Amino acid sequence: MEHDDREYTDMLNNELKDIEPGTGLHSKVRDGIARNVVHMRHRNTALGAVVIAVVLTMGLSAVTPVFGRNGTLPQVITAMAAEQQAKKISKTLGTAPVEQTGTALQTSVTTVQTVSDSALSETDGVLALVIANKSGTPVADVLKLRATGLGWGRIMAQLNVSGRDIGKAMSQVKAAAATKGKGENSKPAVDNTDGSKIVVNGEITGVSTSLITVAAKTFVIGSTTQLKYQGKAITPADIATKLAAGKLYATVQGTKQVDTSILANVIIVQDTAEQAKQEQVNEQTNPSNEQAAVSNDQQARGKVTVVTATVLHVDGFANDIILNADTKVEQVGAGKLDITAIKVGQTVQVHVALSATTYTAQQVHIEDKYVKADTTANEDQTTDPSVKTWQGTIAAIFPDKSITVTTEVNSPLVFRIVATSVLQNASHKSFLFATLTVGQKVTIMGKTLADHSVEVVKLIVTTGTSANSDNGNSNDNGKGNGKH
Amino acid sequence: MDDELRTVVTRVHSGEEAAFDDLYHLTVRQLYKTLYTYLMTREDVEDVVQEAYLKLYQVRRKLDDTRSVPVYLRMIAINCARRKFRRSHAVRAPIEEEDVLGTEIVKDVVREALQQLSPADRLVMGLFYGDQTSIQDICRMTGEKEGTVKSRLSRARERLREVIDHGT
Repeated sequence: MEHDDREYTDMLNNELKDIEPGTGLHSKVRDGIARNVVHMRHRNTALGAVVIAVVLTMGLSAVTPVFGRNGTLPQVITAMAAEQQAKKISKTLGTAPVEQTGTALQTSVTTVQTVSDSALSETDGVLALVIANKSGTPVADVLKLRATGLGWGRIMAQLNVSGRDIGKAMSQVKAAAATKGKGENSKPAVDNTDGSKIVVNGEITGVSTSLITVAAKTFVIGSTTQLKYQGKAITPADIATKLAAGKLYATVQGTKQVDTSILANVIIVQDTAEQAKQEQVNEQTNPSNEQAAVSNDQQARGKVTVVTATVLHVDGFANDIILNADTKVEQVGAGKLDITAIKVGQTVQVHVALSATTYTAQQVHIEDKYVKADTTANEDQTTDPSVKTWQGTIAAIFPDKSITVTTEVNSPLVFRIVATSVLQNASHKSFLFATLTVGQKVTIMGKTLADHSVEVVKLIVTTGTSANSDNGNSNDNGKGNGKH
Repeated sequence: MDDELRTVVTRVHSGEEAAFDDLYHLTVRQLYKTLYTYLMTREDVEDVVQEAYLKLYQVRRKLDDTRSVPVYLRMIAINCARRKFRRSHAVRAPIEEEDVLGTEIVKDVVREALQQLSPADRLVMGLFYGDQTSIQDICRMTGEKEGTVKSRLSRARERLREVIDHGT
């Protein structure tokens, strides 16, 4: 029997002729569609509500501080990013990140000290320094804002500091840290590579409203030029008046212009020649002197190239640094030493104070590890006769920032902590007065006051505290060996 | 039929709700038979029909090529049927055995022959001979190549001939 296509078709149609959709199938299809329509409507409504809620929340959070003191959403995000960067840079810097950040940003020692003395973490300390630096706000004001509980994002917004500013500053700190690793970090972060900066010290031989001649160099006085005399602003007319009365000297920091003129950035006028060094004309690429002209404190770091009883020269710092009896010298592994411990070739970090044209070393930190020699008897002494040293145990602590210390050779003495007092542990790390505890052994350098109490210049906790002491170099005998 | 379908599809496309019912009535009979040749149980066919029309309803506003609507509908339905078939096989006893030996055993020789074909061969057979669908459209509906479809048809015819001629 043969089957052609027609037969197959008939066969199938015959077979399927009774296969018809039931009458209820249409209802089922319709019900399914209706259920689906309702489901989709509910889903779309819910989805729309979620979208509207998200959009409203985002919009609202962008303009309203919905995160309380942390501010708006963008501010929270900015703060998170900034904190992340600060945390990262803190890790990169390792030890004393606040101090290193201060050095990199060329902030004053007191600014760094203020941050170190605050209760902020290292990360927050770094961020506070950077925000203060970028906003031009005193760091104390930044700390006050933070103390009120404001988030960093809100503080940044208030002080008009952007996340990009923070990023740039962090890069600056990172670059400085990298340079330090090569032993060259005494160079300021803002490097003047075009050699256009000029610093001149000498006699003023002429002045007009727009020009001043110092040490035979003529500078243009522009609208941005700062003129100072004894710490106060002075006008060219005032200078002319003084000049008419007698000789006058000045330190001028200027910038070479395209037309070969030199625009004075800062002019510091002095009365005497002693204040201005002899014919010291520094045409140099290192703009650290510019920094010196506008800031009283700065830091220099590098290898010692020359050292005498009174002068220190550090590679990378263009000026001679004066050493005197007030200069504090410290060395890793030895604690406090005297000036004779400074040797040529050592790497040192120097806190320098500029007075008129003189750069005076306030503190010299020798980074080369101390190698014990036989002649170290005079550790923890200062050459300043008015500053004496005591060692003993804290007997009591008072809220007015005074403490009593019991020594073996003296009855309990009252020591007063003042704003300039330096509080350090045996590792030379700064800490807060509030962390002092009774029973801690301390070494105190200070000046005796009229009421026989002692104003603390520096207090070093040597033992007896878990947080601030490392026992490393301390003389833990509790003896009052003060040189009274 | 073609003109009527075209009109209905145009109405569906324009958003007329009642037009979808008309589209259903125009297409369901053919679709039902096609699906039956594949699934061989009314219960499964009805499930697949519901699912297929729901999917068609969801895209009803996009239907513009009236000629392709029946093909498109069957394409959707065949995909749904394949999924249904896979699920049924995963949870049920072998369908061939049930169909052959169970309560639905058919006495009719043709039906028995169809049931002995594979579902895919049966579907192609049903589409080609039952629905008079072209080879090209079968390829579009099943996603198979022309050679494969022709092989299935040839195999199905061979098998039907054997069963009908020799009863095995």
